[in-house]
Amino acid sequence: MCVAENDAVVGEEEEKVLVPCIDKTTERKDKIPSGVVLLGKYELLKLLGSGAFAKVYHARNVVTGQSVAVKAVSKKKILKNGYTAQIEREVSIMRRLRHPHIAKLFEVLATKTKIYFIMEFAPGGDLYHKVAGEGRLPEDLSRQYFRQLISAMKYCHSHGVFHRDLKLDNLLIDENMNIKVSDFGLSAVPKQIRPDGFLHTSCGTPAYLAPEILSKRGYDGNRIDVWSCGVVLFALDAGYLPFNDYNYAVMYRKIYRGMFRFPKWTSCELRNLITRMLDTNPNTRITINEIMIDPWFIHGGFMDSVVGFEPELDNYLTKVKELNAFDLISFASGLDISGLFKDPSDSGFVERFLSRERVERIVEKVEEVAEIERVVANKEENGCGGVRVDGSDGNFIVLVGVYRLTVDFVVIEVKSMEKEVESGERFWRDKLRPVLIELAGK
Amino acid sequence: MGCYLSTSNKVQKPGYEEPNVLASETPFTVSEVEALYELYKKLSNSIIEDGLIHREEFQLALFRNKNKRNLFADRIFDLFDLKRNGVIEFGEFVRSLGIFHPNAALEDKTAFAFRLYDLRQTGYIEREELKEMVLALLHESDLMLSDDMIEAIVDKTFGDADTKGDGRIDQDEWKAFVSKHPSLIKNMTLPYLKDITLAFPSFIVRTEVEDSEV
Repeated sequence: MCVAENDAVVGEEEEKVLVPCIDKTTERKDKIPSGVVLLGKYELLKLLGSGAFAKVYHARNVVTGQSVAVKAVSKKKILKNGYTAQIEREVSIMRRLRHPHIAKLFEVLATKTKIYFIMEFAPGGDLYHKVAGEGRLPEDLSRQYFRQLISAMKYCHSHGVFHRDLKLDNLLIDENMNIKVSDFGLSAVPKQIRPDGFLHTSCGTPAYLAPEILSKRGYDGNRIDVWSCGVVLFALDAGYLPFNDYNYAVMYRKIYRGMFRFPKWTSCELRNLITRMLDTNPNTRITINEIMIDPWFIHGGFMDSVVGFEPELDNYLTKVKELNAFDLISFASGLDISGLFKDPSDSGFVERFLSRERVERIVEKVEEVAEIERVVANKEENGCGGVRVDGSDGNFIVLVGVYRLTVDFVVIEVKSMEKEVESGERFWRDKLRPVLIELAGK
Repeated sequence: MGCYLSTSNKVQKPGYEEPNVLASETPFTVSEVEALYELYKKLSNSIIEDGLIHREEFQLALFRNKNKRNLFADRIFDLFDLKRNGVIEFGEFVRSLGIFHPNAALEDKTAFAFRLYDLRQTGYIEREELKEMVLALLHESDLMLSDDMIEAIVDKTFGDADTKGDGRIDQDEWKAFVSKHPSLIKNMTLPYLKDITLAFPSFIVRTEVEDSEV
């Protein structure tokens, strides 16, 4: 049953172009003075693009050799308009976002006149250029990218962060042909001065804006992001934008009315999904959670495999099988000075037990509890008796390390990571801890 | 006084040092040093508003409790306090944290750990010191081990580390022991220092870095 087309179609012929903007590609091959190294750390290699307030460079960390993108923003306008507090807030948000499909902000450098945002570099360019250059994507590839996008959105929304400016240009492709959503968290900063504003100011297409924004009604970040994702999905499949016109007044009218037409190749299931995402009524528009059970979305089976992604976790477990006296000492709370950097509100917990059980037996027990509670437990591959337990929504991480201390005894160490400590603590206190106490014979 | 301070950027707080100088002597960039200054201001004014980190302020930050003394935290404070005048000044703060930077030399981390564990600063880690630290850890973790077992654990480790068998661990023995057990200096690296500029971004506005210096 394919009713979507009739509901949505209008009579006029659409412009079959991606963006009605001629000077969209402003990539000039400007010469960078050779040997420019920002603060002795980032060597600028190539100008990727520039605009009124910002320039983006491909650069290299001279210490580690890592490729990065550097967005250089002029401070003048930001300070004059009093947006500094906002930038600080947004930087703090960006710092907390860790997801395989979100381009990471590594650090920020500053001089008296400029701010440099050091970001993850995606060598594959952005989806705008890919679709503009190579045309529409095969349906399966659209689905793969779209799933990654929705996974990133779900993660951000669950952390109270909305993108508000999703578009093909913000979806980058990394070396493994996966999506990286860029500029998450910089969204409250007014558009024209955002670090990447340069890519859009010359053009500033409203083609991705939800109708409730155009009508300047109050809006919900969740719902406008879903709308923009709908525009993105349409564009990937069609090779052009659903709402488009050189005349913005005409474009606005199409958006208000939800007037768009599918190309003939769009499958029924996909039409249904896009139609539900491009619902002009935000209250009846499909939600992220509903998208994740949509037939087109889950076609062929889908599991959000990126729950609880936390790349720097390696540092938290002692990777040894046997503890010597100095290993034992290194557990001391007074030796962990990370407290200096933490907000008093993000506290984890740590607890240790002695047990006469075998390491393997304890690891098995932890896995059993995790299975009963339907949370994910991952064993360390190195056989060091480490287990990582992830809450079902990535809302907590509990790490369990088991180390041999003497012939008779092992030490069991349990740590929870920041994030939403409460749910982790509940799992720990009510479920896992009683089991370990039994093993410890405490 | 307050008025005078607020109208002049040039008035330096006691113990303040130029970020440029500190950046050149540590693994930090100027921006990172300036970000650390934002953190330092917070820590050094939490109890006594004199812009210097006192022991109570250090304890408050680590344990959320200004009165909680801890053998190891005391040692770290003393090592940060290079001038041994009872407070951590900004320059001391940055230079010491430099050792904890992920890019800092392993030798520096190893040497810092040695001084940390050389409780009585004799230039050697003695058996008694090792035992004292093990007891302190077991106590704070609420782990009960019999005296015999504690002795056995200390004997075993000490025997492995004191390769010359003279009853004390010297710097060379320590270096060799750490290279066999690299996890021993895990605490000497703070992942937080990698994105310190994102954690304390207010330096962006206050920075004194000239463009020519970039």
